Amino acid sequence: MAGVAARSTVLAHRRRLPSPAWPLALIVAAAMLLPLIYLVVRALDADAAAWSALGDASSLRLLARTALLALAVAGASLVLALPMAWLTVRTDLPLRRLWSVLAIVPLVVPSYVGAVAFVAAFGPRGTLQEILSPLGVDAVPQIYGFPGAFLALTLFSYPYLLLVLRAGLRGIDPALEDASRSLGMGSWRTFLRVTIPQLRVPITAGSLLVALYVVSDFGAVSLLRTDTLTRAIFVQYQNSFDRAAAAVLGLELVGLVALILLLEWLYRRRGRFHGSGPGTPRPPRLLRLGRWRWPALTFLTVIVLIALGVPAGVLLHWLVRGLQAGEPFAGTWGAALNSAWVSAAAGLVAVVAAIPVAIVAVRRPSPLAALMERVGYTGFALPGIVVALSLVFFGLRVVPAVYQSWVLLVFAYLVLFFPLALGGVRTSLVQIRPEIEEAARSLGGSPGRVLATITIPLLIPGLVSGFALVFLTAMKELPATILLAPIGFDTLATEIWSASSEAFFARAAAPALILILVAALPLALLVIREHRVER
Amino acid sequence: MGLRKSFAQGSAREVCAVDDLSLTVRSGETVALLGPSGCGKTTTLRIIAGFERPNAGRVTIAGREVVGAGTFLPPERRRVGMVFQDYALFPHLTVADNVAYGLENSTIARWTSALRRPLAALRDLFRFASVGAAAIDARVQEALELVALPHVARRFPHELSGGEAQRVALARALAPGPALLLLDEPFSNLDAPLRASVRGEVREILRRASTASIFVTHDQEEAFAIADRVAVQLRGRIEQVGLPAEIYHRPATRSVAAFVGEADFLPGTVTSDGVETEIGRIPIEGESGAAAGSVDVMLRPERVQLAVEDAPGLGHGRAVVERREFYGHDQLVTLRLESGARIRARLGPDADFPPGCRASVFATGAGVVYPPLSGAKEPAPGE
Repeated sequence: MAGVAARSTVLAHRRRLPSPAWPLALIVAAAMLLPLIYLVVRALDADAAAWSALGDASSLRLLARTALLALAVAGASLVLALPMAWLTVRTDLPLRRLWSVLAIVPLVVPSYVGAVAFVAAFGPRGTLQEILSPLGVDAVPQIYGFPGAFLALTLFSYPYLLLVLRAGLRGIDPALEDASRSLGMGSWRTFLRVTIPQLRVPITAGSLLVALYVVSDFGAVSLLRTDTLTRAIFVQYQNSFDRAAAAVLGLELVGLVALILLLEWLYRRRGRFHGSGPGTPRPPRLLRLGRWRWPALTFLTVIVLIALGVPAGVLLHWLVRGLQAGEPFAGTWGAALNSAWVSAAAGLVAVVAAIPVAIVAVRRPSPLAALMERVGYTGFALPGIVVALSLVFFGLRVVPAVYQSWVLLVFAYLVLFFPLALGGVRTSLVQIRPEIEEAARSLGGSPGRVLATITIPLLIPGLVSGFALVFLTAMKELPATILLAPIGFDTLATEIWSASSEAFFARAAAPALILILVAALPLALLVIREHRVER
Repeated sequence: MGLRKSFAQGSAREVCAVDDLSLTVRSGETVALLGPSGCGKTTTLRIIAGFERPNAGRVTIAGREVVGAGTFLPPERRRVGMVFQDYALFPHLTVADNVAYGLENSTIARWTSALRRPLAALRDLFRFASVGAAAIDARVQEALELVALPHVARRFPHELSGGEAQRVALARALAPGPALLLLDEPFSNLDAPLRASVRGEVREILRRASTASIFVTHDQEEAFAIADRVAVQLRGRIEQVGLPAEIYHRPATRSVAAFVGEADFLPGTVTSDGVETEIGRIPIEGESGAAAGSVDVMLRPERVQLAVEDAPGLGHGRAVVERREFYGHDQLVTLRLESGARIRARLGPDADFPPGCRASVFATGAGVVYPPLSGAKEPAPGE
């Protein structure tokens, strides 16, 4: 017979079973931190002159120009994206669905591909000049320099802000606007005094995202010959014997990025209380544009034509000219193949590495697990040029065996794009209830067998989407590819880079168009998903 | 063979902890672990299954210690089957593959243990190789027949109804022949009409499988209907273990009485043949040798009846009807006595005592006595 036992009570908190994923996750997290740590190590090597050079007038001008470019692009992106978001979400704009897709599509143009297209269109010996020269115009406005970079970066980065703003607009409870209208406010004043204030968080977060993108951008500023930090780092690395000075500049760039992230974090924390209330919001009433739809359509048409029509048209034009001139495309296929397998290797390594980190973060929540997960997102914050630079140093000094081999390149992709893999795997893992795994354990499955027969098969959607995102993003990567690809190892990105540095636009056209198509795939998926949500 | 489990686990931070608990389940027996939500029932179950480590204490299954000082057997080596609250069927496997999962594990386990004993391995080699897959298929079939679902073997979990999923989970847990079966709130995901029928089926399956089992529930009706014995767990402790009728009629503590069904407490004085209270003399349930002097007596509403006020010879306590809840097959009437104490009476559907009317109250059966609340001797609750 059983009874109540009287025994002394032991008080302590609950303990979970230890997980074999822990050591693996620690290794992955350490790998993610390696480039940053080694960059600091190298920068500390630099002599005092390199550090004091940071205070030079020219260095300060460089920093100011970078910050100004980021600020200008973020501001201009907001000016473009806010009306676009509002028109495509809240009005009866004709062909609203089509416009909401077209307005986001410039996202698929990698900034350096866009820059190449702009140079090919508006630069010396470019398409525009060819068209105009019979008319007696022999000089077009300079595309190189700050204005060119500003234009290109704005046109190819406003879609990030647009995505955030569209989501923000959809999240607003329309009842708030109805309330404002019923209190006697006109629609315009309601927009200014109720809608915009609610969009404060998406506006700020999205603008900072754009600023981050600009500060980290290497391709567009380099091809448009605008001196910002990323380009300066590259020039310093290539032309100088003192490579530690490049590391110092790299660290300065990391500092700038950290500042932007800090601002974003502070702002988002402050804005957390803004949220739509409980209850199911009705879909908002669409504002009737009336005659205003003509200016609205003109605005959208002009932006989409410049951001999408110009690159596509110019690249196709050069492709055709290249074909007519008998440009050999064999090199392009070889480069495409190289790009594909290096990116596939990166995708594979990234999803495999993401599994233990996701398991620890989702199944064993603790401060340390949260820290490891956050470390996994380092790649989002680190500019590609910085990771590449640090790994060049690391390869030369520490592991010469893998320097000038694809191993280091794949590792750079891993660090840069690990967040994409982690996001995919994590999302899938969250959907697998832990009881499923416990059920398998209680049926006698060892931890290894449960992982192989239950967890991983159920993770497949996340593994596939994580792999695909890493693969497609790595295909487009430029700075790490230039710095780390073994000599003679051509990829689509290096093809475009070398061809356009020498103004061989016809040779750059084919790889550029391939990259645009590659980049369009995930966006197509995103659009399809958004479309489903809307219905 | 008996199973013995005893643990002590506590938590400084969490309300829901198992605190110094001991329970023994005999083979073939079904024990309900009954308690309000947040009392640590599920934690207890998870400790037995091996998903949580207790801070102290022992769990012994079929004579083998699985948790104790310096021992911790991982879940897969405990021979404990578990039916999860939402079944946790593997969504990517068919019903048959779900049920076979544990059998394949036990085959692997036999192989590895065979490899450790080379001689026995040689002898067994033929048997395993020939029996292997066919034996698993046969056992899957057998397990599905046990739950009367042989026809769903090829379906996927999302193609099952709630009741079917429940029984497949049961078949999956029983297939490897566990020494102990654990069921975590097994009926909470079924809607009320289905629950009653599935409950009956599960009881029948458990009886036929004759596996020792523990199931966790917060529903006393469920516990009483299925279990051979019921263990009432409150605030991490087991307050009473006993037959369902014992638990209901002779709750060991005031807290058990209040948790299991409706209970009202009236102050009274112990006399030679019962307890003298405001509503008359009430006989004492069971042997109550220890009770003396001032006590509280617990009455279930079914043992309280009403009469029209001043009916001769019956009523002792005068009361006013405060509230009436009509359930159809019966009704629960809440009364305020002259002293201000409240007591409830369960009456047949035809009785007519509307709120506000006066009535006299009397007990029709025995009550259980407890030391009065003001006394500091109350054993378990209230600290």
